[in-house]
Amino acid sequence: MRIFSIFAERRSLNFRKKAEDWLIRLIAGEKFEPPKIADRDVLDFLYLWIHFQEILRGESKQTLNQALNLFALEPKIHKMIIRGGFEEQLIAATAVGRSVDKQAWDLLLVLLDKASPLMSMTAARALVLIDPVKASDIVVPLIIQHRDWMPSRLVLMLKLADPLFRQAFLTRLEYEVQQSPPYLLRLMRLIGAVQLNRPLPLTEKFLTESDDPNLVVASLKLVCHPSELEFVRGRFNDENWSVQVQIATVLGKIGTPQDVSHLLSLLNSKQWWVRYRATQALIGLPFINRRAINRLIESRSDAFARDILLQVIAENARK
Amino acid sequence: MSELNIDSPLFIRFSEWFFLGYFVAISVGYLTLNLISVFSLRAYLPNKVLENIPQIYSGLEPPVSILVPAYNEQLTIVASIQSLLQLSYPLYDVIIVNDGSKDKTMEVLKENFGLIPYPEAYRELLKTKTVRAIYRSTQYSNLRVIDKENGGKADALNAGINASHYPLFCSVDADSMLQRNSLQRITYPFMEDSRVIAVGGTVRVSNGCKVQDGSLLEIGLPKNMLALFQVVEYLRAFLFGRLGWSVLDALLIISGAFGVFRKDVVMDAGGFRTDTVGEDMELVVRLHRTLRKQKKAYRMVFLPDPVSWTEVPEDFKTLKNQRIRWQRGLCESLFGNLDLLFSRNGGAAGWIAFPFMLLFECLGPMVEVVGYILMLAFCWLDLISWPVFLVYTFATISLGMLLSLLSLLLEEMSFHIYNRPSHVIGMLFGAIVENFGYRQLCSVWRLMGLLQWLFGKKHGWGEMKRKGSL
Repeated sequence: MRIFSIFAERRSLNFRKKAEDWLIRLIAGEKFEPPKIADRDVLDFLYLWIHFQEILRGESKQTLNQALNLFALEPKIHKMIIRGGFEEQLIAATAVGRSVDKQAWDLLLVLLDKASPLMSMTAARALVLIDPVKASDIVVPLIIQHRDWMPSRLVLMLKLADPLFRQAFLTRLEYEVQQSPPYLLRLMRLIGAVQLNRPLPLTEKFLTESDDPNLVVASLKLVCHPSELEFVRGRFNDENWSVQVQIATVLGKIGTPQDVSHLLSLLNSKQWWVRYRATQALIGLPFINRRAINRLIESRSDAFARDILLQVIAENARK
Repeated sequence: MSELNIDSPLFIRFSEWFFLGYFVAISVGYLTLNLISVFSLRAYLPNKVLENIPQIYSGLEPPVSILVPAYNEQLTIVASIQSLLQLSYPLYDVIIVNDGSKDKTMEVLKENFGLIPYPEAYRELLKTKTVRAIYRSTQYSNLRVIDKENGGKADALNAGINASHYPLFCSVDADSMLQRNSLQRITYPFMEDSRVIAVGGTVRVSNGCKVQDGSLLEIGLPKNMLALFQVVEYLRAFLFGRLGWSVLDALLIISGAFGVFRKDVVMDAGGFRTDTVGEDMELVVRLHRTLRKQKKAYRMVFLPDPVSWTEVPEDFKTLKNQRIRWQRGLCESLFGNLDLLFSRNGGAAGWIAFPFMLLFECLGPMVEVVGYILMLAFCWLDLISWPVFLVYTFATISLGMLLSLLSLLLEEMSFHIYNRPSHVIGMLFGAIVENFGYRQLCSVWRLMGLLQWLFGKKHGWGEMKRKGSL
């Protein structure tokens, strides 16, 4: 078993070296007769191609997209999606998404129904990259249904998606959240990933009604407009430290002189993280000048508050 | 009364059946764990396909404080910290806790990392021995050192928790070295599931590997036989022991050498207990006990691929001390949290893992050693035939061998980190030969640990003779 795997690894390494050279020459604009890639090497080629896709930007990325056509790989990739093993299907789905291969649309729809969350999610991501508008009707309901889709990968998918898709997603999510489903928290976190910097009615709802600190934190993360400040202030007495951290962060972004006293009170928190965010917020407020901060340091009898003020000032000076 | 004599047929028959029954139970238990691990790995590995592709951070990665308790670690501490400072992770800091080292650990740290005293206000949320000073590195903004009076590893970890800033903390041994992507991988479950309170990673043996400035240049096997046997042991313990328990939601051990915990949960539980030598396991068992009692939803997870490399003992004396300490830690952890055993809400932790650990891991060495002695005695006194004795010996040795070989197979199926044919041959050799003497010796040491726990002997930091291979 090991001997076979060593031979396979060596062969794969040799092929990747050659393929890397081809891709570099291609990106550099060199004209050459593209060699034929054997079926067994397609997977290695795609790994390398995706790797290049991730690290390159701008025109080079376009050139890279043409490489699949140039090496006549598209039919082979489609075949991999239909008949390949798990790894092949996954990499092929990733590749057709990155290359915006419209021909692969129907093949990806089949992968969407696969039992593996990773597979269905990769197919969904590819669909979103190929046609965000068309994909929104199919993929948005699936994001809500598929609670096994990994949040970190979902967040990445949403962050990198076309604004049209993000808007469609947000609209649907706002409706879903109003129904207060049991997986509400997950949805709220996803909204955070696509937030389009406008106040959302649901933040008011949760900031005024919810007792769940996780939900309150998720709602606070969505606050972006001064009109929402009154709901934030309604949470000033919340004792949960993660809520306090988020309140400090929000006040740092949109706080008014009226909120300074609350930020000052947070400087005495037992939690470093609360003190740190409150200090960052205070120091970052546009109406607090250096003199006021110095007065603040001198007036603090609490060593922890003084420490954190000095630390954040030092950090800012280094920037 | 005569029926209680060693030569009474009843006693002999009872012993034979008892040891046979115990052997069958332990075999079934371990093989089931192995089977669970195989299925779990099969489900886990495909998810790694996309990890070979460069990924940007999602922004969900929780900040982590890495805590490194250090006691007389002058030889390895610099390389260890260097490896920690090279991790790929968006936001983390490293806190070294010098627990009153008697060697030059503090001087070495000052010299290599440009430490200056940093008059940071320190809040003692968990009670610890006096903190003498806090230092900050002038070269690395995310490195701090706490110099405190000696109080043991648990006390040092508690001081580290007090000084930590972030919501998660990762405990790492000062003689360990993390792989660059380890922190990113080990925090994954925290992002996926808000119930996760602790995640354990895999510890592998660094003896025999080529290391430079905290980076692992080449993976290799140690030439020292004791270290080689431990390579196989670690594979067995992590790859199918913990993975199997994790699947059952009954993980009772997260190694202090590499584990990430939610700080608030650990603080609510009172931090690490300073009166035990197995503070890592004790904390995990206590978390199970208290959270189950409070009927809180939680998960503790083991991941097979975030790897920490650690130096293992290469001499009998250090190894003996380590095994005695581990066994005492195991006993203290289990008997200190006996409420979990068959408790009403105990779940798989209280109803499967705890009794398993108690019967096979805690009392196992006693049964094994007594079994060997009794069988030898019966045989010597002609109370049983040689073939019966040989069958007993053959069965126990082949079970050990089977388990070791299965873990090698699991490794081969999954990560094959040791990638040369000579490595495979070396590990096969280790997996077979360790069963002839080494395993029995370990059982004797573990029995000594069990006895020391019974008679309440004190034990401090596990001192280790270092080669400074990191």
